[in-house]
Amino acid sequence: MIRRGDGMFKLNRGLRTIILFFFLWEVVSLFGLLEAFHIPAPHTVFKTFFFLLVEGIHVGELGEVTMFKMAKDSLYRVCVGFFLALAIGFPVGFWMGWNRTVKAFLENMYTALRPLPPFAWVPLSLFFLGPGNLTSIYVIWIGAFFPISLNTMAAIENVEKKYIHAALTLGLTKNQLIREVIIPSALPGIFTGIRIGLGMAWGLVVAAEIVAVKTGLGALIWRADLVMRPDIILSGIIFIGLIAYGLEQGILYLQGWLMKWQKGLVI
Amino acid sequence: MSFSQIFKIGQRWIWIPCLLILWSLFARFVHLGTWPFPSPWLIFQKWWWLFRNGSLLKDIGASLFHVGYGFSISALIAISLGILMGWNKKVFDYLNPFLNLIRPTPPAAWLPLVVFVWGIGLLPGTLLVIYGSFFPILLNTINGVQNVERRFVNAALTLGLGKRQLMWNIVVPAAFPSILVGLRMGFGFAWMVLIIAELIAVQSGLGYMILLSVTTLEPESIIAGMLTIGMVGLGLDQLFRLLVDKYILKWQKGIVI
Repeated sequence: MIRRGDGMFKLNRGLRTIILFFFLWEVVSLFGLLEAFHIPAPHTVFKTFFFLLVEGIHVGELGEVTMFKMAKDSLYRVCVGFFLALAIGFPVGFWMGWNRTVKAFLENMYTALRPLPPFAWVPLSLFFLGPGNLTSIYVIWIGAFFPISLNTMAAIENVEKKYIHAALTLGLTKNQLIREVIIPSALPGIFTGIRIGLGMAWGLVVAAEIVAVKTGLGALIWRADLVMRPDIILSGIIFIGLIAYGLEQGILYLQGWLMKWQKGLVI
Repeated sequence: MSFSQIFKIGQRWIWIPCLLILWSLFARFVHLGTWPFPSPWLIFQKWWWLFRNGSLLKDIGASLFHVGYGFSISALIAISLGILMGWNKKVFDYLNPFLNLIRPTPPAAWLPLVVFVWGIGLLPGTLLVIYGSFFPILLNTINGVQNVERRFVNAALTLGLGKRQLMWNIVVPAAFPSILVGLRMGFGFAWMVLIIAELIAVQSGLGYMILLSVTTLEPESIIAGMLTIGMVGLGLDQLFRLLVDKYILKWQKGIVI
C-alpha cells in the first residue's frame, strides 16, 4: 500500500515547501515590502546569477568578474591548503593511532589547540604573512588539519583487534598488515575526517577572502556588499553553497567508489 | 615514585616545555619579514598587562555575551524545531529538503548579506552565531527524537499516557543525551563563528581585539588574544563536557536492563 509519506510523495512535499518559499519571497518583494531590508526579488537574483555565470559583471575594483573566474581562485587555495593538511595530518594521525607513546605525547597538545578556532589565526598570519594567498592557505591548512588527523587517529585506533590478530596469525608482514587490513578498516573514519576537513576548508576560504579582500568568491560577495549589489551577494551565496554541496557529494562518491566492498553488506 | 610512573606522567606534559623551547628558538632566530616573532616571555608579559589593565576581561565578557546570546536563541529554536521534526514525519518531509538546501552554505558566506541589511554591530554578529550553531543542534535533536526506542513509546501508550505526557515524560528525556551532544557541538561552532563575526562585523570582543592589534602593530597582543580565545573556548567546552557526563551518567544510573 503506498502511503502519503512514501517515495515520490515525500519528494513532493519538500518541493512544495521550497516552491512556496520562493513564491512568498517574490510576492513580498513585488509589494515593495522588502525595500526597507534592501533584499532583492528572486527574479533579479536569478538574472544576476545567470549573468555572473555566463557574461560577467563589473564589480568595482575587481573589474569584469565571472563566477568561474572567482571560484577558480577560491578552489585553488582550498586545494593547496587542503592537500597540505592531508599530507601532514594523515601521517600524524596514523602515527598517533598506531603508537600509543606518540599519542600520549601529542594528545594534550591537541586538546589545548583544538578549541582555538582556525579563523583566530587570521590576524597573526595577516601580520606576518601579509594579505596574500599565503594567509588563506595557512588558515585552511590549520582548519583542515585537526579534523583529518583526529579522525584518522580514531579510525586507526578502532580497527578491531581480531582482524589484526587473524592477519598476524596468517603470517602477514607488517607492511601487508597495514595495507590489507588496517587502512581498509580505517577508511570510513578517515573519510569522515576528510569530509569534515574539506567542509571547514571551504568555509574558511570564503571567510578569509572577506577579510583579506583579494580575489575569489568571498572577495566577490564582500565587494558586492561595498558596491551595494545585494543581488550579487545572494548569487554568490547560492554558488558558494552549491560548491560546498558538490564537494561533500564528491567525497561521498569517492568513498563509495573506494569502498565497494561495503555496498552489499548484510549484517 | 618509580621511573616508569614519572615517565608516564611526563609523557603527557612534556609538550609544554618542548613547545616553549622551540618557540623561543623560533623567536630568536627566525625572521618573518621585518618584524621579529615575539618570544613566549614577551607574550606572557603582554597578556598579564592586558589582564591587569582590565581590557582583557572586558573583551572576554563581550565575547561571552555575544556567544551566549546567539547560542541560547539558536538552541531554543533548534531544539523546538528538532523535536517537532523528529516526532512528526509530515513536518519533517516538508521542512527537511528546504533545510538541506541551506545547510551546506558556510556561515561566513552569509556575512556580507547580513552586514548589508543590518550593518555592523551586535545584531548581525548574533544572527551569524545563531546560523552557525543552528544546524548541529537541530540535526542531533531530530536524530535523538527519531531514535527513541519504540518500546518505550508503546509501553507508555499501553499504560494510557496522553500525548502531552508522552512527549514530556518519555520522548524528550529519551532524546536528551543526543540533544546534549548536539548542544556541545553547536557551541563549538558558535564559538568559531563568533570569532569570524567579531573579526568582521562586530566592534567589541576578543576577535575585534586581535584584529585591532594588527593595525597597532602589536604581535604580542595578537598571540595573547589568540591564547585567551583558545583558553576560553577550551574552558567552555570542558564545562559542557562536565554537564554532559554528569547528566547522562546520573540519568543512566537507575537503568536496569
